[in-house]
This record gives sequence, C-alpha cells and structure tokens, in this order.
Amino acid sequence: MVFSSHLFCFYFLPLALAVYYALPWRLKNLGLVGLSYLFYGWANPAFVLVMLFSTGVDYVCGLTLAGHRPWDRDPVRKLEGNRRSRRQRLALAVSIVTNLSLLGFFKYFNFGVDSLDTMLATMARLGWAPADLGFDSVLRVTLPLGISFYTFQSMSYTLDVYRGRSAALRDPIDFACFVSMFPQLVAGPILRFNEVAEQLRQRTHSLSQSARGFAFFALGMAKKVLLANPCGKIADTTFDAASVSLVDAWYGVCAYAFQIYFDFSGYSDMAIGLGLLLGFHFPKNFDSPYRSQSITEFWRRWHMSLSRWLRDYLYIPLGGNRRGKTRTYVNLAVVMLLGGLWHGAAWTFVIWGAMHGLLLAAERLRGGEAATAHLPRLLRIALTFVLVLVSWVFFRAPNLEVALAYLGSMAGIGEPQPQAALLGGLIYQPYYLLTFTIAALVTWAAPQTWDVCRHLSWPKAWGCLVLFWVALVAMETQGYNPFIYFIF
Amino acid sequence: MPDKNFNHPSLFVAACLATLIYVPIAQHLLPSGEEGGWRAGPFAELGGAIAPADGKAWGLAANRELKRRLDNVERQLEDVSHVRSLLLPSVQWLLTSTAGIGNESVYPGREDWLILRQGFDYLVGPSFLEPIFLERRRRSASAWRPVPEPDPRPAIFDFAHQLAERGIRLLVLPAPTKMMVHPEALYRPRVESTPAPSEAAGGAPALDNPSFASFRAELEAGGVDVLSVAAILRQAQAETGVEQFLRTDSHWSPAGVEVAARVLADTIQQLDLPFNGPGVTWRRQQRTVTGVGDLERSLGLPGWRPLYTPQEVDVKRVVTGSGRPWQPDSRAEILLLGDSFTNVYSQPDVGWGRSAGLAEHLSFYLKRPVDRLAINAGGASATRRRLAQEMAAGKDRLAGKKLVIWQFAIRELAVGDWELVQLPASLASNLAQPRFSSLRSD
Repeated sequence: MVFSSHLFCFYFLPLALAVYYALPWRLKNLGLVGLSYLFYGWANPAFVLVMLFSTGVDYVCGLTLAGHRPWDRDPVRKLEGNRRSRRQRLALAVSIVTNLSLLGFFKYFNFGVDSLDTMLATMARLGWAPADLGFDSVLRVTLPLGISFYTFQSMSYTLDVYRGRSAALRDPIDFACFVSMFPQLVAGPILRFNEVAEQLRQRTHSLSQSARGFAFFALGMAKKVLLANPCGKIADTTFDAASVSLVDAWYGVCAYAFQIYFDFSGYSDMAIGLGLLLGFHFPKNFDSPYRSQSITEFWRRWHMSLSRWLRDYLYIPLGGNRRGKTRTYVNLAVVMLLGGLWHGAAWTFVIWGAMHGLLLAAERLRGGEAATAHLPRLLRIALTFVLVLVSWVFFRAPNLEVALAYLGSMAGIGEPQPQAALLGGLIYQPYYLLTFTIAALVTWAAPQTWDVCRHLSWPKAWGCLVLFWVALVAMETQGYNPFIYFIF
Repeated sequence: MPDKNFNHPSLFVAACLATLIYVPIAQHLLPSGEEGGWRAGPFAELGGAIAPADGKAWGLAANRELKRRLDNVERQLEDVSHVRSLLLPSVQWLLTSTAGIGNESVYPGREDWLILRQGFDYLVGPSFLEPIFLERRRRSASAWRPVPEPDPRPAIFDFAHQLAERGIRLLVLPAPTKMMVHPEALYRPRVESTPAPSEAAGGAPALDNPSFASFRAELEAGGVDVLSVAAILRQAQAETGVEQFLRTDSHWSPAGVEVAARVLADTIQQLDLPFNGPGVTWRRQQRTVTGVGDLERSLGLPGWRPLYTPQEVDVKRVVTGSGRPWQPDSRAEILLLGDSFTNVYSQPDVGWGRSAGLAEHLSFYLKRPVDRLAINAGGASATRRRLAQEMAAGKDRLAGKKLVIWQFAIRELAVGDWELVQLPASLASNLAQPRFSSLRSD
C-alpha cells in the first residue's frame, strides 16, 4: 500500500485517523501498532513475521543492554559511562547481526547468487574453472517492503541505548510502535530512536498541528502525483529505449532527477504530514538538494535522515575525520559505497555510491570545497547538478551495460538507431514539457514544503486544498503511479 | 503553536477529511440504483475462510491466497470506484484534447492517429533477444505471477518440429505494429535533429526492433519460413497513398490486410507445396464500414463529446459465386492460426465488418480453401493451446494439412509468454486429457 493510492487515501487513512482518535491515550500506541501491521501486512502478510522477529530481538536486546527485565517496575535508566559488560556487548552484537542478516538475506541474496554465477561463468570462459561450476539458483528471494528502513531504524535503538543516549523502552508496544509506525515505515524519514523516544510516551495533538499535517500531506501528494509521475514517464521512455539521441538522453536523465526528487521528497512530506496528524514530529528529509553548490552540500540536503544515520552509526564509529586525512577519505568512500549498496542490490548502485564517495573525498581533499568553488554561484549549482545527473544514470539504469550506453548517448558517442527519433513524438508532448518546466521551477525557485507549512494562512491552505484535489483526481484517473523507493 | 494568520484551522482540517471520506461514503453508503444502505463491495472477498486451490490452508499457500485476495480487493476498489468512473471520461477528454496525453496503453499521435503503447515499446525498446532483457522478463515473475517464457525461439522451433513430424510446413507471419508502417503517426521532425526515420533508413521502412533481423535469420536457418510484411506495407502506402493501418485502431486497414494476404499468397506459391485439394474461385463485394477503433475505446472518452471522427473504410467481402460469405474449411490443406489481426475484418462484433479478413483474402488470392483458428488477444500461445485442446478432444485440425501459417502480433516477441505447447501425439491418444485444460487470457 503506497500513500498515493486509492486504498490508502480513501480507506486506510480515514480508518487510521478514526481509530487513533477514538482510542484513549494509553491505547493509542497499541492502536497505531495494529494499524501499522495492517498497513504493512497488506503488501504481503508473511512479511509481518519478519518485522515482528526483528522487533522482538531488538526489544529483548535493548532490555538486556539496560540490565532490565520486562516485569521490573522501576524506570529504565540510560546507561552511563563508556564501559560496557561482555553481556551488553553481546546483546548489541546480536541486535546488529540479526538486523544485518535479515537485510543481507532478503536484500542481497539474489544479488550474491547472480554475481557468483556471473563470476563463475567468466572464469569458465577464461578457462580458469570448469564450465559446469556455475549454478542456476531456483530460489529467488522477495524483498520485504521497507526492510532497509526499519532494520536501520531498529538498530539505531540498540545503538542509542548502548551508547547511553536513550533509555531502553520497557513497554514492548511502545517499541513496536517505533519500529512499525506506518507513516515512515516504507520510505522514511529514517528515525533515530532518540528523536522520537519522548514522543512515544508523550505527544500533543491540536487542530493547528493537524492542519499542518494535512498541508504537508497535500503538498507531498501533489509533488508525487503531479510532478514525479509525468517526469517518470519521460525517464522510463528514454531509459527503456534501445537507443537515444544526445538531446533526448539529457532530457531523460533530467526528468529522472526530477522524478526521484519529487517522488521521494513528496513521500517524505506525506510521511511528515501523517506524523503530525498522529502527534509526531519527524525530522526534515530534503532541503532543496539540487540547489547545492558542491557534492558535500548535496549530501547535507539529500535524504538527510539517511545521511545522519550513516554519519552517526557508521562514519563516526569508523573514526570519522579523527584518524588522519587518508583514513578520513577511506571512511568517506566506505560509507558512500555502503550507502550505495543500501539503496539497491546491484553493481550500478555500488558504482553510484563509489562515485559519490570519491567526489566527497576529492572535495575533502580540497578542504571541503568543490573544484568549482571559484566559479559564480549559479555555475557551481549547475555543475554540481550535472555531476549528480551523471551519477543518477547508474542509479536508474537496470544494469551496467545500459548505464554505459546511456552515458555514451549523453556524450554524443555513436549514431542513434533510426527508431530513436520516434521517442521525441512521445516525450515532447505539451503535457510532459509543461510538467518538466514546472518541476524545474519548483526545484530551483519555489519555497520548500517545510517553509510553506511552518505557518499556514488561508491563501496557503486554499492552495494546498486545490493541489490536494487536483492530485487526487490525477491519482484516480492516471494509471502510471510508480514509487521508486518502494523497492529499497 | 497556533498561527496568528490562520484562524479556524478546523475548517481546513474538515475540508481535507471530507475529501477523504466522501469517496468511501459514496461507494458504500449512498444509494446506488436499487441498492441502499451499506454495501461491502470488494471487501466481501476478505470474509471467507482461507482455502487455497491446493487445499493447504496454512503456511505459504495460505499467505499466497490471502495476498491474492488483498490484491484483488485493492484492484477492485479502484475499478469499481464511483468517483473514478465519474471523473475518468472527462479528465481523459481534457488531457487528450489539450495536452496530447493518452493512458497506460494508448498514446495519441499526430493528427488523429492513436498508437498502441506495446507497439511503441517493441519498436523503440531494448532488443528482445538480449540475454539481459530475457532474464529481466523471467525475473518479473513472483510468487503470485508465473514465470513467463520470454524467448520466442524455443516455442517456434518446437512447434515447427511437431508439425514437421506430421509432414506439415510452418510459415510464421508476425503482423507489424503501426509505427513500423506509419512512423509519421507519431514522429515530429526536429529541425536540428536526426533525419526522419524512413529517410534515415534510405527510404526503406527499416524500423524494427534491433533483434528482429537476427531472430528472422535464426528461424530461417532452422528451417522455419518467416514472412515480414512491414516493408511491403510501407511501400504500398508510399505508392498508393492509402493508409495501411486504421487511425484509431491497433490493426491494419482493409488495404493493409489485402496487401498482406496477397504477399502471403505469393509466398505460399513460391514454397511449391504439393497441394492436392480442388481449387475454389471466390469473388469480392465492396462494402463501406464505419467504425470506432479499439484504441479510441481504450481511452474511455465520454460519449457526449467525441474527439475522434469514426473512420470510414471500404472492405472487400469475400463470397462464393452464389454470394454466400466465405467460411473456413476444416478440410483445407492450409491452416491459419492467428489473433485479432486475422479476425479484425471477419468478426462483426469487432466493428469492422465481416468476411473480409486475412484468411478470406488469402483464400481469394490462392483460389483455395483455408482453415482458420484465430483468437483475439491470443498472445503468443493461445492459438496453439486451443489447437492442442481441440486435437485432444478428437477434432484433428491438422489432418490433411500441408501448411500452417502462424500469424501473431510482432509485439508479442517482446512481451509474449512463449510457452511450449505439446500437441497430442496422434488421434489414437484422443481419450487422453488435454494438457492445457483452460485458456488463459494473455
């Protein structure tokens, strides 16, 4: 179930709000857990068991870290100092290994088997291995919805408890609520436990907050349905083509950049809005990333909750920038490489991550500045955007071969096949050109959703309402409604 | 903290809530026709006990069944939505008329041409025989969607082999997609860009999927005859100025089917097969038919303000000397297996007349009877399955045949599920159960 669907908007959301507000305070988290499991189980009932398992392990590990038993009545305290017992270290290890194993199995099993098969086939071709060594695995593992998000989120709990940043939760319902909360379950923002720990126990509800929640939801929906979907159509057409011309290739990758931005940031806005409707304040996830003047700045503005997670739970534990320059560059590259792999189990994602890691390391080498630092601001933004576009080719292409061919088209290498000219008849339809232009204007010139919704006024509210209606009409009548991060 | 400039946020919240709850109320509570009160609608499907077809009410089988029902509920909620059916025609009309936008299966082209998306995808999409493409299609299977067989070659060779064992030759006829013949239906020349496709190909209608040439060569090397009529139709259009495809329909025009049948007849004669049966002479009667194309119908535009003028075409009905309409003949030595490209001018319910289809014109040009087995939207496998079923049931459609023509839409090469279909070994095994007990709609 995705937010921009008939089922969610017209059935699940009204039901969720009715149930949530009908319940007394002490049962609200329980109600939220039930609703979240319904939301999650709708995609595949069996995957509820995977989430329950992950939740159960981390709950027990959290209490074990705190030296607390579920039936103990006294409040759970934060751990103090830096010294941890063998039992505590073991509990943390169990949590991390469990979550990474779940993620590894469900997300990377197919990738591992395919890569091994390819490697064995290559070795056989070179005569380094017998021809029949490769195996054709019949087992294909289906990726559970949102597993990349909730395993990271769940791990942040045990890590925060271990570090003494947060107290463990005694109530399993509160913990299940943190892990499964449906607004951000599928595509974030990735919550760190210490960001919402207090809100799980105490939060406020008000009409003005609900109004802001609906405004966020409406604008997010409009970004997703009215901008991301048409741009996605352009991108799909060009990336799925056997051959594209130079102009079409650039147009297509720009459209993809808009699609992924509006798709993901729109979904994040909807999640933030739903959180507000339920009394939660989620962190900002996008800060106009295409206005960045360097790749370093881009990563401070793009998928901010993931960047923070990787910084706090991977980059800093690896030593961050405290162990010399070389180690800092290596750490940056490793974090981005793993960040790339987190996005998807394919070599194209590894290359995407490695490319960003190298660019970040290069900028760090220059003291945190891009090589374009001496250029005018607009040019710096444009060049950063071009670098991001090139990296998006690896992110979007189904495989390395297509990515390289597409980059070749962007560079004007080779003559496009005759049928490539037909693409123009579709992707330059007035509707697509108009949407592309609006997307560009919103990207570089419009205020952010966050700013629009900070203080509502009636003109803003009317604007949100009209956009909401138009987006719902488009959602109801247009068949093309993919969601990119649904599969991550 | 309440905003000073935003008094009464409750009104905004109420408006948003009303928007959300209007749809389910209209769907399930407001009177609809004779019905009043609560209507469960698609949710009723969730009520019954979980009892999958294989009888296992637990574990993965139960999960699969539950998942199937949940998917059904979600899909049906969208399909039967009052709001959707109320809005869709008007919104589609607005989008198509002002912004040139179709839907998921139909693209508006230049002037009043409509393009089938699958045809467009076949033409501009990846090579359909590329191993990566084939693998990606195989991987599109899931626990709820069977693994498709994306490679057409094994099925075609297997079928040819089974026919050869009976002394029957196979001729494959992939019906082209509209843009292979009429690229101008979509293409808008750009001043600085590449030349028009037909010019780029030296004036020849060479537009095709990159894999088609090697596909054809491989089949011919394996002893299977292949007839591609795209170039001939393009040439006919250039010479006569007559459109070879219908503007708002996915199929060829009456002129197109006639050209295809004539070329097919020429090809068959060149095969020099030892036909023994008596020749038959037919005559043709011209009729004018006005119809609305399948692509226009797919757009779901409102009836109150049509965007496209119904197309008027002249069809030539093939009749006997006494004026009786042409009929397929099961004793004929030629069997035509086909899809809607075969049927479009044969079945009155398709809307373009009758007795004027591919089999009829082929019969006319060959001066021979022809048997026909054609299933609309039959995809890559339906006709072979039907043939196997009929044979297993005792109706040997291959008895006495010397040639089987297998017509399918060329786009099936990129999207079809090319399953192997085992024909019954002989009529002695008629009592055996057919392997394919039901037809699947492709």
